[in-house]
Amino acid sequence: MTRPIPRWKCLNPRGAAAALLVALAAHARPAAAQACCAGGALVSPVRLAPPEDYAVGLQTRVRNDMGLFGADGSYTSFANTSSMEQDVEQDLAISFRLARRAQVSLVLPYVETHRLDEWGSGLGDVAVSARYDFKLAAEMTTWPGFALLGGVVFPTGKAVGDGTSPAATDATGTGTYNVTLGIDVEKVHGALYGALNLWGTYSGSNSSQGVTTSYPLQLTALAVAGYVFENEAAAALYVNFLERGDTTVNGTSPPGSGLRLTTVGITGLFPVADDWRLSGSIYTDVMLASFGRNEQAGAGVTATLVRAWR
Amino acid sequence: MDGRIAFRLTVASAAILVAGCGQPPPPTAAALVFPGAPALTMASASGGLNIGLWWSPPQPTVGYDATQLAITDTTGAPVTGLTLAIIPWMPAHGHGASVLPTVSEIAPGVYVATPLDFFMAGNWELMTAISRPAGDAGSASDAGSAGAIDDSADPTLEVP
Repeated sequence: MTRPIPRWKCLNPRGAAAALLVALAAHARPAAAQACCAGGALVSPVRLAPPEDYAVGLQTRVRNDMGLFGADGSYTSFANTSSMEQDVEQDLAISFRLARRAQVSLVLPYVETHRLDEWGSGLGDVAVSARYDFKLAAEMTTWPGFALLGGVVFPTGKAVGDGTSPAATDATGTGTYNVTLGIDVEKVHGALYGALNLWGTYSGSNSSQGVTTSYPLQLTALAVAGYVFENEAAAALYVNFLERGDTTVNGTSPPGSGLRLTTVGITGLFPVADDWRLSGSIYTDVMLASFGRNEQAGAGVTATLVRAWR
Repeated sequence: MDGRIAFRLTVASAAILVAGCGQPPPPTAAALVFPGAPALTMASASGGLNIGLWWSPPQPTVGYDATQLAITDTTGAPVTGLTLAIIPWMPAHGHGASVLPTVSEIAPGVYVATPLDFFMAGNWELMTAISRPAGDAGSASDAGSAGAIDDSADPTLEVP
């Protein structure tokens, strides 16, 4: 599954990203030859296809942060500074079919961070998501398919301030709950696949070191355009955009404390056996002024191996 | 390969791995230097105090940094005997730092806070509570009650 999202350390982006990821995780399709089924797996390999009952996926992500978006949207490269950091993550993802049109997914992340010459790791925030397909794209000839997405991220990871590492590399979680609701609109046309996802993420407030922070609704949009080849491989381009307004810190809202991040990527899928599929992606945040705000910018790769049962 | 040599190589490799797996020492701040004019000047929340801030290093970096605060009243006189509680905070991300700084008054009205644990790049805020015991009003115009917070200031900086 592709998560074009930045950092684990940043409280809400991370939680919302995890929610987004899980929402995407409920999005996968099998390695079938048709765009209707292979398309979804381009961005979410663990999503169950109609004939599948459950699936298990192992995913690895590696990300390198290379720059910073300031509060005003300006971009500064980390070149020649000590600010670079690397994030690595391994996820165990499990999907179950609850009904013909409903499925639920669970993601258990293990997070590692390298910063200031120090590595830290631990269990991240566990995420549960669900998906209900009112209309599958394959069922529709003119109109697109439509699904409702929901997810909850639980603060099972260690938040910044709860750890002991001066570099906070042992911070693996957000420290708060996140609830995500979204819609997925999908369209297939021959071998072409397209999808547009919109999410709203609500994060609970969190208190640490005597400071209480609450967050406005975070909006995320994901657009995917892909092509499914005759050998059942598939490839797609995607764009992900995330925006959130100013936070509220101890009752006041510091101006310029909102978030923004724009990510583009290429993702591919390759069926390695009847019930196995391998997928991967390469992505980068758009490192140009105004495409981000208060976020580190980086690039990364993902690789996922999925086994599905019918 | 001879068995004993292989065993020794194994032990040596394990020793190297174990040595390399220890928790690295915390980042250390460079020698504190606060040259020239303050990098930032601001009024406290009440407007009763003027605060000049210097960073060390002068261009803040990821790692352990420090700040010097020169606090004066509205007449320009240094305000002594203050207690400053500083929490480095990233308002956009909703978290602080793992290590809180200690603050000491190194000259009348001049306070140094170290370390500032800027463990990642981004926009940081120094949430600063300023208090002064009753009966020790210094030169400030408003004497607070014992233990009460007289004032506050939240200077911000961007760590590249």
